[in-house]
Amino acid sequence: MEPIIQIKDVYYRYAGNEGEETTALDGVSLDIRKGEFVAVIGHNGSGKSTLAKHINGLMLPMSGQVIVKGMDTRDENLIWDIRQVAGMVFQNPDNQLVATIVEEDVAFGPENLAVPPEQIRLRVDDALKAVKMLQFAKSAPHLLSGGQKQRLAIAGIIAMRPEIIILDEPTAMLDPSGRKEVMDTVHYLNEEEGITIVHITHFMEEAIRAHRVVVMEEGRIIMDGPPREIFRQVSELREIGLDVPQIAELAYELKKEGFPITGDPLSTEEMVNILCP
Amino acid sequence: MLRDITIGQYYPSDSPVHRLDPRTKLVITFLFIVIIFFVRNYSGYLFILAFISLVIALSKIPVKFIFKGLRPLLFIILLTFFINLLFTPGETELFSFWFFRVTAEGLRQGLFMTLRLTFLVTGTSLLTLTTSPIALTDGIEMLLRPLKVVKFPAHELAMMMTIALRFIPTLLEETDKIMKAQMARGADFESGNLIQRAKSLIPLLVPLFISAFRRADELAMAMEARCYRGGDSRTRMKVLTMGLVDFAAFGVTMLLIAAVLLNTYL
Amino acid sequence: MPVKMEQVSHIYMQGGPFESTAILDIDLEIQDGEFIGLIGHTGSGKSTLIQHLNGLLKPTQGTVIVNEIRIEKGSRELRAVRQQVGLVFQYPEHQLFEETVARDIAFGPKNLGLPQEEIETRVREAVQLVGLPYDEIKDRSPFELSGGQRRRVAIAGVLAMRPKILILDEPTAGLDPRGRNEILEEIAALHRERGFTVILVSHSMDDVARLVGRIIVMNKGQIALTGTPEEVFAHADRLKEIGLDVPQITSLMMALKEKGMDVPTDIYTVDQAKAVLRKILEGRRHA
Repeated sequence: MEPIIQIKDVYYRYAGNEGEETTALDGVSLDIRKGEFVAVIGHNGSGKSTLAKHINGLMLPMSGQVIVKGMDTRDENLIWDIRQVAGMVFQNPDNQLVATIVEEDVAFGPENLAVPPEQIRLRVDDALKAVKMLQFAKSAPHLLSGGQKQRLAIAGIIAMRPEIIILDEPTAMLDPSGRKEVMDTVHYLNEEEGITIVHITHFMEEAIRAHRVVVMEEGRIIMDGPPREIFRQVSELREIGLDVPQIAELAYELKKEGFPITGDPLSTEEMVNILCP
Repeated sequence: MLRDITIGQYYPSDSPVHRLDPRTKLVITFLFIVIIFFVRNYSGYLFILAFISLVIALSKIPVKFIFKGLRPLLFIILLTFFINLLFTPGETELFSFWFFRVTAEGLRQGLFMTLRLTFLVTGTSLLTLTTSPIALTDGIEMLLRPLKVVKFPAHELAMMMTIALRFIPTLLEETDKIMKAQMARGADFESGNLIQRAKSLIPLLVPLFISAFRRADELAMAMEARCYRGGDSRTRMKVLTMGLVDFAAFGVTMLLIAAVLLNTYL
Repeated sequence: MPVKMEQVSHIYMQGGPFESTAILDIDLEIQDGEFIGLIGHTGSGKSTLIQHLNGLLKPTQGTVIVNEIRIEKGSRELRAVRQQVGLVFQYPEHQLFEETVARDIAFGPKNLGLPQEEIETRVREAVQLVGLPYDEIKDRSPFELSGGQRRRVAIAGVLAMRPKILILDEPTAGLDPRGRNEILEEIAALHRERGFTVILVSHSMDDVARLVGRIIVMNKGQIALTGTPEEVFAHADRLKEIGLDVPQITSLMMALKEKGMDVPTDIYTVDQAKAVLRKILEGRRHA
């Protein structure tokens, strides 16, 4: 089957502060299949956010092309269809909520898509149920916690019935419990609703649970594979200044000393199983 | 602080007045404002008083709450009274002191204006007390929609109002935070003369503006990502419908208008 | 310059319908040169507590004593306290407002009414303390710097007040791993080399555990646990009950112990774990 997202040799440059050009994307190619959960990691300025904004046509490639569900993002007539298929959740929970009442905010997307009123009602209730926020339907967004605001933002996207959700560092401004709420919601949507997830993050614990991890550095994809394969490369990751989950680091250190640690453990349970067979 | 202002702050309740279509309430409020200016004598105000009392009774809002909301305007109301009392030219002098002359005409005019202002404020605050901001914006948008033919941006106006309402609490919180951050660096917002005080606001206002622009930028992008492309061809989840109550409300309003006009011109 | 809190409570909007108790009966003493990690959920009272230490908030009940200055309900003139206790808020870069880096950092010293030369000395010193090149950066606009640099400029703005105690609220929030590590390293250096008393407020056990000498865990407006990282992690069950994470290594050790392995459960770094496991694995190899 054709991948739902095809990124083909995309270049993107922008003018920096003092006139010099910065290359944000330097020939990026990436295929993502339907139902995949892809985590994109890399530090600030590595181009991951720019890449994310290419998927729903908020940014357009200077050369190369991005095809979402068979639609080219450069085709102006298709841009709204693309954004319906590929929804996006942003970093700052406050700056993406539009309305003064939770359910009105969820309705914002479907209203823009000109969905008939009775159907919007159904979609809003479904979406709020999916993120477990139905009891807050009549609340004011500014009274919610950070994690709840992000779940609300996700509900606003789900109500548009997308096939892909792109999350641009949705947990960066949250505390650990908010982060967990959001990640549980995202995994639920991926596993139960079959929604394709592109999750951009700085937190390696979040990347561990993905199907696939893409590492970006200076506008290029430098690693791409299952989490186990990526986090095995401890010294390479350290070199570009990324964190490694503690368990992976411990396994790497012990292996380096010649102890038989097999299977590249990432979680506490896996490590326990290796040490206590 | 800004938070303490409660004039016309929405008072949630389930009353016939609350259930009225926001368009009905907007139109009636408008008619009410106009008709107040047609009142020429005290007996005319009796009709106005009866109407307002009826609305308050039906709305189930405690009278105390309404008057608490009026308190910030007390100064303006009193000022209006005294200006009219002292500066209305008249014949029948009641008493005089210093260079002021208080006349019967002045007293009458002062009382009259005070009543007019009080009724105006109470009437309009009843609109916002019984209508949630979001319903109000919806109502305004629907009422102004016909003006689109003359290129009036009805939808844009309503959208701007919604976003403003959404971000007021966020920006208040932010103001508080930046203020504290600058105070931690020794800033003083409380002492000094007017110019010094205005100057001391710069470290607060600059970050606040920068933040507001950043928020606006991000919000615009988020709205675009959610397929927002202006008001055309948009649908709404909540459709406004007028019912029997609305017609009844218009009926009562017509009675008021008729009563006031008859009282004034006959 | 020791800090003491005696029976301090703070109630927001007392008497109103939205009354809420943020902190309750806090007793706390902080000695000179301590490096403290303050941990707790959003809403656990951390932010309220630290704002008492420099007089931005006054106790509803109780007394805060900073260098013999008493902060109580109704206390006035607390600017001396604010100079001695530097408070860096979350996302401090949002408070920058001047046209150049140097002028922004000079804002604090200027408010102290210092002479021009003294201000310049302090600005230069503060910029160097946060690891930025003074000559390169002083005339640039803070708004054209990178996120991590902007945050350092903001921290320098507080350091230029020459506080004895430095409190930082989530100084790594929103930074990438590299930025996170750099800032933490600099904060550790301020403590180690310059002798600052540092209070680091954080959600992250991992970050805090490897840096600080004492951890204070807050829950529902009260101090739930306090002690060295080892002492605190020995109560891992209590931490989980509160809903806080323990470092991954600590929970690994706990799981191993449950399986019958003879490992300590109060360790929290990869190096410590490596040493412990090496011994065990070597023992197995010889067996």
